[in-house]
Amino acid sequence: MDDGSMDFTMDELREFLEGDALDVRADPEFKESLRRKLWEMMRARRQRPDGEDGT
Amino acid sequence: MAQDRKNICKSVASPRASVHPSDRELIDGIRRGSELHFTYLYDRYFQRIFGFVYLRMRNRADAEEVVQETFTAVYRSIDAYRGQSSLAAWIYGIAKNTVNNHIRRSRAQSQRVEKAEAELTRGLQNLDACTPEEHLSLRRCEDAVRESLESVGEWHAEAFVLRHFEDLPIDEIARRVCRSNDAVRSSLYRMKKLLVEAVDAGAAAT
Repeated sequence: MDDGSMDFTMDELREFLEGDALDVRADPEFKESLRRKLWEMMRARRQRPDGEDGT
Repeated sequence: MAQDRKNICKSVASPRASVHPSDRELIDGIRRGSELHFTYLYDRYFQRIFGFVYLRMRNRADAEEVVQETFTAVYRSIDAYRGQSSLAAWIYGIAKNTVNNHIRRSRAQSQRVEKAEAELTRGLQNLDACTPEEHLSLRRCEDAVRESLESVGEWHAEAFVLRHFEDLPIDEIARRVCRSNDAVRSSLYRMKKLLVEAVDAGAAAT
């Protein structure tokens, strides 16, 4: 996912930024659980030799 | 993590430093393996991504699934980020693609469900014209569907029946099963997936 796939308009980007103001919040447990899973994934990838990231 | 905290504290202590690390500092920190920078970026963009996705998915369960896929793609691709666009724009591109892929998969899934339902209904309506093998196939499908319905919580099966056999609107079903509208929609979506798998399994067993 390089920077090349940026074919969207400023309106779409503005739409993205409006997510900040949405009155619906994620479940805090889901947010924290996802954070932990993602961090574990990052750690595991850093520990593997190059080219063996399991993706 | 302790060294990272010291570094961020140093930057806060400096009169000219900004209180919040820049996106560039976050990327560099993450690439160095800093959990603090990783968490900072996550917290900075989480609500934005969740809000954007929720507005499109319109239900919490699907929004959570897509948010997870989005962040997974972000962190997996972090080494490929070159800074040609802003970090927000880069992350937005990933979120947009993930949402679109999810919607495409859901549509394909819905089409499979409709096809499976149509085939099952057609078969059941023409039982007299079925060969013994077709009868057996239909019975196996029915058994697989019944087992699936029995394997889920009672309210899920009830919601499914109220929707597909009594054609009730979502808010009426939610009232009867004492759940939120979102929970009912999510349940119906998952029940459909379960039943498609059951029908496929039943057909494959013949």
